[in-house]
Amino acid sequence: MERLLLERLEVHLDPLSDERRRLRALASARALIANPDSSDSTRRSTVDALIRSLDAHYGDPAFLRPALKLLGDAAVLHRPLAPSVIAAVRPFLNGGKSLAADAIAVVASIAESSPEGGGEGGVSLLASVLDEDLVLSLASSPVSLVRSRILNLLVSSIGRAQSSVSLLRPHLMLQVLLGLAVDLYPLVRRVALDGIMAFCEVAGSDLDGSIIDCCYDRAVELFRDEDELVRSAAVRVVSKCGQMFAASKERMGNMERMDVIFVQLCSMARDMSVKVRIEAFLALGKVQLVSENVLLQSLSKKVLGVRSGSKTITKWSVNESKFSLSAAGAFVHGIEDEFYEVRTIACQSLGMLATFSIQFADNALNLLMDMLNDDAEAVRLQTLQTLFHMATHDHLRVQEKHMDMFLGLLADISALIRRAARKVLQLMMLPDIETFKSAINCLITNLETYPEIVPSCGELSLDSPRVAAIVVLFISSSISNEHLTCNIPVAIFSYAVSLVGRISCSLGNALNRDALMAYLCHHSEIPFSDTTLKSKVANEMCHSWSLHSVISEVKVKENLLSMNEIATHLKHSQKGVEQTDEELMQSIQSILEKVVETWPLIKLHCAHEVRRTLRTCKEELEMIAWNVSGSPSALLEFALQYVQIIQLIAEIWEKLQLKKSHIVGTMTLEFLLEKLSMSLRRMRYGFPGLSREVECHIIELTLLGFVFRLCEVGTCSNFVLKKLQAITSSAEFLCVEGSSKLSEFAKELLRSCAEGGTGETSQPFPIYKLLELFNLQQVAFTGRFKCIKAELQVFGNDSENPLPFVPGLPVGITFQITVHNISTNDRLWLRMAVGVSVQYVFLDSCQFTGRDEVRKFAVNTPFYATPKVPSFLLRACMLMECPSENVTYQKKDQRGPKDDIFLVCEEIEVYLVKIDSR
Amino acid sequence: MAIECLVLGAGQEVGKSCVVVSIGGKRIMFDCGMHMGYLDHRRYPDFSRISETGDFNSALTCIIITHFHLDHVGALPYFTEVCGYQGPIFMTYPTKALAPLMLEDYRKVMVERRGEEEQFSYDHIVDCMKKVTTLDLKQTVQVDKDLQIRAYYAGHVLGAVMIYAKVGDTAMVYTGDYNMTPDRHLGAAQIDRLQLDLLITESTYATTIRDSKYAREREFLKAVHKCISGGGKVLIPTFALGRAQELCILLDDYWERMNLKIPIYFSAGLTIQANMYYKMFIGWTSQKIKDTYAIRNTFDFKHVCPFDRSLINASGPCVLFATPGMISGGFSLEVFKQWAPSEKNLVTLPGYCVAGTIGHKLMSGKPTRIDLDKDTQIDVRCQIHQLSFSPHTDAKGIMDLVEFLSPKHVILVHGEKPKMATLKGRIQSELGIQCYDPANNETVLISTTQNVKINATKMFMRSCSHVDLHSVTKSAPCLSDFSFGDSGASNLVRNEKVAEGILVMEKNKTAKILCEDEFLQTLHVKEHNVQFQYSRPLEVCREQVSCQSSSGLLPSNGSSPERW
Repeated sequence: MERLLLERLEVHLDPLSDERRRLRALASARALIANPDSSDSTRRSTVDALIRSLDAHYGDPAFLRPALKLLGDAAVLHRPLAPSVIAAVRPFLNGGKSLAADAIAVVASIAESSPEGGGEGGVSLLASVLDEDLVLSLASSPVSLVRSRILNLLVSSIGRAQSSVSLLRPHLMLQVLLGLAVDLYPLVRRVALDGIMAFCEVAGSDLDGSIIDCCYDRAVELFRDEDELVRSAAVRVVSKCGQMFAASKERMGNMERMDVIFVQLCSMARDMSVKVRIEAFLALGKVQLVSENVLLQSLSKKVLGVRSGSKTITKWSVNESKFSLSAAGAFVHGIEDEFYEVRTIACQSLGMLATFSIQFADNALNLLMDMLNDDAEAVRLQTLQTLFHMATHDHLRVQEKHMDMFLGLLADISALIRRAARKVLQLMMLPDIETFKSAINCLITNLETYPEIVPSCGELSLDSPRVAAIVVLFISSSISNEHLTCNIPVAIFSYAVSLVGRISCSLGNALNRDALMAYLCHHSEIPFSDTTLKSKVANEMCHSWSLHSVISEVKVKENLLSMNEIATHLKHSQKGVEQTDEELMQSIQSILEKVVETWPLIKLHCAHEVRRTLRTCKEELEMIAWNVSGSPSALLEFALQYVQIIQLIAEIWEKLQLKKSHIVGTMTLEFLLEKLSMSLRRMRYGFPGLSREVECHIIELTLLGFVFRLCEVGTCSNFVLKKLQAITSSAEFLCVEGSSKLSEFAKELLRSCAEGGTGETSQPFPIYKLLELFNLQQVAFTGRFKCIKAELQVFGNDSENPLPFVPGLPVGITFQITVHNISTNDRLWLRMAVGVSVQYVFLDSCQFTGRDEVRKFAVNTPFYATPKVPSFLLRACMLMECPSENVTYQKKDQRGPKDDIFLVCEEIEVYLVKIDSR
Repeated sequence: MAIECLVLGAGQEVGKSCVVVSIGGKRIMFDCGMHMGYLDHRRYPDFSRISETGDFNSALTCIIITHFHLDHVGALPYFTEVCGYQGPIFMTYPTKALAPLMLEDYRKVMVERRGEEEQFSYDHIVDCMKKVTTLDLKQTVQVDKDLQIRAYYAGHVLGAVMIYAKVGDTAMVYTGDYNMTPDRHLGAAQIDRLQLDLLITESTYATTIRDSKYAREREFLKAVHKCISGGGKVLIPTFALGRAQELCILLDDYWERMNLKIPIYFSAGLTIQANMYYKMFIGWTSQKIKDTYAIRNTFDFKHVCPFDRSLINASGPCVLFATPGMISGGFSLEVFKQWAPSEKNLVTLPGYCVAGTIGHKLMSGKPTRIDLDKDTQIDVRCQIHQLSFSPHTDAKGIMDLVEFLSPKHVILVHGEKPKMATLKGRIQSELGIQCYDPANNETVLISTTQNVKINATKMFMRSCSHVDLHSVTKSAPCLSDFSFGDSGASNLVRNEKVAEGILVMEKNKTAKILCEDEFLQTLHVKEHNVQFQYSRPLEVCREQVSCQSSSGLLPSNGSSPERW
């Protein structure tokens, strides 16, 4: 079959056969070549036949053109055929006639598909076919197609001219490109300009100044071209030349030239073609070393005053007024452009140029703030990005008039925009406190309208006011940069101080916490000099307490840490992480100290102030707790308990004072007392490893609790007395063993107890004397103690997914329990309560798997007393028996812990619903 | 050839735009407007100056209307139906659609409200519109053998165009009203770079340079938002076409972005009808609207609903668009009476109000009390916000356009006299272009340069079209690196093209330029070679042969045998 076709081909290719036949022959030749099953010899003979026919048909373009194309395809399909094809095509390149265009196409396609992937191999192949003279003659061919094809070939070879092999020597290449850049055909012009661009890029900084001049001049000539693509290519070249001027050695001498380039590009920014405008604004953004007044002119449509550098302009023979005129308001037009693409790029370029001049940045900001009202989201987003860019370069000086528009954007319907706006707000320096306030108000309302997690704050899922709080810090810090600190109410700083842990955590420890704290304290300290502090009354303390404590702590470091360090925090951050434990202990300590300091106030019955102070303490601790896991959590847990105890004591104290006059609310008092003793038990037994001193302290507090109880009851029951005696003796024992002394209060109590114990006459206790004697002392809450605690969970249970139960029948509930620091001697109980019915379950420590500090296990317990209701709520918690309290008050008929107990976990709720009412 | 330009209206004033231009025997009337400020004969252009006899059909080649504003189209029915012009009229599709609305609205106001004698009837308008030929953007219309016209987008209002007219080699552009900066619903004016002898441009803002439109938008939105968040009502008296849509888009977009739920009302009537046309002519609107209309037509306002009279005194904030714009009567006055006494409310005023209207009174100082007539007085306690949106280009825009087109002459119309004089000075000094600002009924005569056309042969064109790179190659020093030295570098740029050819005047009197190679062929002459030989007697001396043979042959013929 092949042979048959081949023979027929030979016959049909004969020049004497008619045209249709010849073309059909070409078609069958194509089939022979393209068929993958054709043998190599067939292909070769087909190609040979074609090559022979080329000579035979010399002067018949109607045949030669498709034949050449076919040969080219053949060579591309089967590489071994390439050399013979090239040899056959070679003669057509001479003469520069239209067939040369086809010949070039063949050569180009072969070079393109060379095995090296069109790389150097391609170029060397081209170089072997085309010598310099030939290229030049082709480039000056009168046929436009030949010119454009050879030009394409040249331009594509520029990009890969890394090798020594190149088609033309550089200067010749440039000559060809520059020459063809003024060709009659726009296509050729454009490709030539692209070639110049590529040429400049490849040559890079090696290029001589005069050569750049040539390219530049040629490109500027083409600014007035009729074809928009040529114009935009010209803009690109000018932009590239500008960059090269700026990068060259004599850059200072090029300053005036840069002005001219800038103005020329500005004039192109008013082009009627969108493509050109886009290129022009892109180019404007890349210009460097422009003088400020030219920059400013581009922002104002009105021609600004006489330029200072007017003399230099005449050198470039540019009319002065026209010079300003063409630059005038380029950006104003840019940001008002009909096409959002142009607006976006204009906005971007504004941001790039804003890094050069503060004045320009300020003026640009006026425009940018208006752009926030653009109807295209892309433009608004770009504007915010530009603002962000300016802020990072410290060139963002917002004024009050801008804020309206900007804050409006915080309520934008697009989440993307809102996020970008907040990001900018973080870095913004606000001019005054009024703006600042309105910004915060706006932020908070908007966060309420659009509740969302701020992704920039990492994985923190904060509720909105907290997010706001973080922003507060950022803003306040940036304001203080401006030395406006005096205008900021210290409350803001103190707020920020209390958030320090969380902020630094949310920043992913990118910021050194020490530095942050020191810095905040430094600022919040200013209005709180010692003299003012003294004059202030207690109600001020709630603002200052945290600051005060933290200041005292960080004061030492303050000298070492300057503002700059905050900026260059990164190197510290590693150290910061290591220090966290130590530091955390310190801050908790200081909080505890602060708590102790409230005692005089409690005594003075400043209930309100005390409450507030303690509440802030607690919040602060909670805040710290947010970020901590591991060893300091014991101290933290302890501190939280301690604060709660002091809170309770303060409450009771207050209640007792009221009781002095008339007796009310015994029930609440009873409740408080019970809560207090529970908490104290937890303190005492839930933290194994407490130092003796602390233990004494707790015992004293326990004693105080009993005194309260006595005070409430009025008389002294036997049971209470016995317990009291037991405790005092243990206190005594502790004091004898250790170095510390018993306090006056304890001594007095001891004496009273002894009297009461011997006399049995129920002589009234000198309660008020005792209370007067009591004094909360500062104790170092140190020591490596542990914290016994547990976590209780029922998986997959919530109000939406309740557990089923049948009323009256027991229901099995699976609790997931995690216990910390439980020893085998500890007696743990699970308590389940529905209304008044309570059920205790003893948890055998054998059930706990593992011997680590943290142990987990699951317990499936039946709850028996299911009520006859459609649904109910079961409250469950874990308790621990106090191991050593030997004096116990035996309740009858109770299947539960015999000793006093304390809670080791938060109470959880289990939802249950009747099985058929689901 | 000269251009004769007769300014019938809008010469050193704003109103009744009408310019008659004669180029090469063709007479074109650009715009046929009426003056809204006059009620006497001055309201129409003085048509008698076109033709003494009143035979307008032979006096004018065509009329071209740039846009539908009454000061550009108002006199057209009068001219065609009353004066009897029957020739061709050109306008764009939107103009043809909207102009009758405008004319009819005006006629009604004139006849029904003011009780004037009508200048033209409804039938006149309909008949007039039947004579109109429609134009599309960038469509070249061959009006007759010599006259070509083409329309370019002008911004300003829906369907506004600038007109390019060309007779023979003489070309001119009449801009009508245009806007070089885009707004929300219209694009910016756009035109090609043309070779012009004359540019007739409007100069409404001949000296004003406006700031960014964003600032104006911001002010407006701020005022509106403040008012409605305070629970007030906003009255926006606007004209039904143009500004109403612009402001509505602005508000609708803002409402959307800020998630506001306060209703925006459009009072019924003309506006609803106009909106329909705006929806139809999407191709004439701004890029943004064109881009998005497939998803949602911008003129299908999301937050806008028709207004009902009962809602005037409904409680709660709202925004209302009402006509007419200057609160000269009608619905906007009715609402104004109700809303003006509350300081919570806001009234926005258009940029320009005719003296005597309430709008004008409000603009000139804030009065506390306005006497409507003897019996009615309105307490004005509401806030006033003046809009400064204008669909006209500013001075910078005019200069930009003039510079871009770089015509040989500029005529300024449609502006105020002193300001036009300033602009004229600037155009002459800064751009070096001859500029005129004729008053009404003045004629400007402009001489145009005479171009002689010559034909060129294909070969000549080809020889011009490429550079002979070989010549450069030979002259440039061959250096392998990039440092050329001064001469090398300058060589690169200095390759100015010099085309050489032979100019031939043929028998048919048209000149023709051709290549040297073609010359003989064209003249049908055969090439003769004349060979010169330089001979002189010499004494043959064997030793000296070599030096003499090389001494004296002409370089032209290397092949001729040498004689000894």
